[in-house]
Amino acid sequence: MRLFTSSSKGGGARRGWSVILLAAVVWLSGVWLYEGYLRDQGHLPSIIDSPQLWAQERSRIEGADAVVFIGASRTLYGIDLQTVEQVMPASKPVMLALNGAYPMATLQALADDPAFNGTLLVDVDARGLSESNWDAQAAKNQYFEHDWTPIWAVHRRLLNELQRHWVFLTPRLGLFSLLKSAITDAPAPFLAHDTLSARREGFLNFDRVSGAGLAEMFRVGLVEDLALHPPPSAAHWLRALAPVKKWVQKIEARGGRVIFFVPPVSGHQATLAEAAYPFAQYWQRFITEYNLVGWHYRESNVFSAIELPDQSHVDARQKAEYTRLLLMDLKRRGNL
Amino acid sequence: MQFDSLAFLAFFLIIAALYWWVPAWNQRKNVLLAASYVFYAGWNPYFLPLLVTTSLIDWRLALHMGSIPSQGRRKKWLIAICTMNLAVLGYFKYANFFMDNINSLTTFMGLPNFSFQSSVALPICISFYIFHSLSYCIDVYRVGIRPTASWRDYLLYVAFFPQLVAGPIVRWTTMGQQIETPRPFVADRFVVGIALMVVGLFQKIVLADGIFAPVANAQFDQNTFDTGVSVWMGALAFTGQIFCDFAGYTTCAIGAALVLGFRLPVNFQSPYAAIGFSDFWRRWHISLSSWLRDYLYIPLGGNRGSASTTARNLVITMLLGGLWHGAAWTFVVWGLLHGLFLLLERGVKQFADTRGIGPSAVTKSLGWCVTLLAVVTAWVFFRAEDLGSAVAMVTTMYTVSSFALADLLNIDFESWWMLVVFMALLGQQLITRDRPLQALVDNLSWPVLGVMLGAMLFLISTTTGQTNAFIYFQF
Repeated sequence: MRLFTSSSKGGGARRGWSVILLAAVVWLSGVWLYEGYLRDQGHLPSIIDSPQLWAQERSRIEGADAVVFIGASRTLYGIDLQTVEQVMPASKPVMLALNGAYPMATLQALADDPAFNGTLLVDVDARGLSESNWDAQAAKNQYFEHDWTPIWAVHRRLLNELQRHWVFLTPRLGLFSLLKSAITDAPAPFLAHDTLSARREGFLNFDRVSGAGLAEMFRVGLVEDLALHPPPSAAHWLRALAPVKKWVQKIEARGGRVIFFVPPVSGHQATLAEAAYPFAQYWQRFITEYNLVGWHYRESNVFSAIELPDQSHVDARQKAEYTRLLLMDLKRRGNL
Repeated sequence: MQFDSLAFLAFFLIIAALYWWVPAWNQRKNVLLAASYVFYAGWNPYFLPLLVTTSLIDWRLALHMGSIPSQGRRKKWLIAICTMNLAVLGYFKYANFFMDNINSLTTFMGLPNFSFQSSVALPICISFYIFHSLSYCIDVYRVGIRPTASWRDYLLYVAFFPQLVAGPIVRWTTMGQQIETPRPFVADRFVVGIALMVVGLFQKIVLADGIFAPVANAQFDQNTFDTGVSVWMGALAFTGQIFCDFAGYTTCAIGAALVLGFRLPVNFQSPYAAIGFSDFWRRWHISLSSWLRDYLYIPLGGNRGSASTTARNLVITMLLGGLWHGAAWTFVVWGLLHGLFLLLERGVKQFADTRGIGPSAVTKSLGWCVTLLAVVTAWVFFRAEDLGSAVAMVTTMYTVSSFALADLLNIDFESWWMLVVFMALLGQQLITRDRPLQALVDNLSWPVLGVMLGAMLFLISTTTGQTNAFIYFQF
């Protein structure tokens, strides 16, 4: 069996260390130049979301003090965890909301987790409650169940530290993407207006993007999705939600709490959602007929001073106030 | 723990520093054994006892077998050891497959209620460490090697972390002396080890995951396989991916071992430059093919009997080789295809010999093309989700009407880029066909090697995609 051997023609240690030194110089120079180029283009460092980052936060849920936020982008970018800690001093907030994915699979997974007995705030609207959207976060939960190990936790922790400081570690800003846009007519990587912290707190900066442009993009997306997945009848929709009540009961039986809430939207987002899933026929019946704790922005006027530049999300500069108003209103109503 | 994770980087730095810092050889071996078990437990700590227990039992039984003078009694012990190991492998790796097929068969026979349920979890790398143990025990019996009296040395031989999860499959005749005698620190060897780790990571992260996998996944994950161009793109992409993924792992393993002063066997030698299928198997996963040759093909009778016996032995060996890769019919067919390719090659060689046709530039070129085409085609079965998809893809690949010029003109950037890199890979393998990587690395002057490694590190750093598990970890 032929073995791998080194039969250097001489130079020994001196040659060896010279190679390492030169390689390090070439590598670090290249990275430094590349990083500089990306920053010159206006890109910013950010933690990048991944199944591992989600699982890292999922594994932090422990005890009755846990306050877990699940939902989609409005919660990911809207809820300020430091404000949660201030408003609820003994709490241990965890952010599990996922950009672009409704949270029902996570609600079910937490209901099935015998260790979970904390407070769960579920950001989901009537469309998200439709059965066709239940699996949107299933892959993340499966990853946590089957593939998440302490070794990946170490990996993710180290990666967080690197991504916090270096732009070039953003996957979509890889060399291949830049080459593609240089060689073909593919657009250059866009300047992101969102960043994420290691605790999965999202921040939106609407100075870097056109809010009106985003609002139009969301409107087109929502119209297309509603055409693709027409709303079921209210009766059918409501019947299909029977398992949700059982999930909530499982959590409550362990001493936990579940609060459903719908964060504010405006403009087309509000009118299209109301046209497809009328509040009184869908959401209100879901909360009352299954006897659940629910909060809907239509029933409250606390967000009147909050601006939604893209008709859906709040700017990072207002998220602390946004969070405080939501939590205080929930407290005032006796839900928290 | 994957080689391409930051956790491994931190782990390896700590272990390598500790290993070279500890003065006594016995202590160094203790460090390596503990590190190997931590490395393995990183995936699933619940399977660590299985690895430790089977290794200890094999060590003890082999020690006992080695002390028996009677060949007949030794043979009985060997049969017992092989049966035990194959039973463990069979249970953990093939129970689900077996039950699924029993269920399919009973349903087919109209016995719908006769259904077995099985959900045995597969311990990672079980095929590799069982083959390590088997080769040791068979060598103690057959070659008469002296079994080691040190259980620690044996455990380290089986679990040595650079090669634990995906090989190379190392024999005791290769590793025994290296484990028993202290490894000196040789700076040049240390640097070559680091260089190889960088090259391996480059193969895995930049080539396999960054360039080949996106095209291969896009093709194999879809349900329709109706255009010949896109199916060929998928097949070629997977051909590149599996080489860069597996060879990348092996190169990392050899490099990591070299940093620690150990030399592992070469596992790949430009396999896509092979002329003929026997040549391919002398170049692809060399440690497995030589294992199958020495411990299965030759004991079955090899090519010592009639033509039909040789054919039977070849097909059985390759079929079991396919099954070793995974409990699925796609792997069985892949192995069977390679068995048939080898048979066909023997027939062609006999025909050429009788007609006096010797090797020439034309026959060699033709042989290379046919070998590569057949290997690419067989990879489709290896990668496809099921046999139906594989057959549909191969049918499309070889149906003229499935090709249209418009499809060729509509190839996306990723596929073109993949094709360029695939051609470069083929060119490199053809040029360095008979020169091992070690010779290439050694012959580079230090400035060239330094710049090359720096450039590779830069490309690794700027190819930041999703971390994908090495394909061969599942085996």
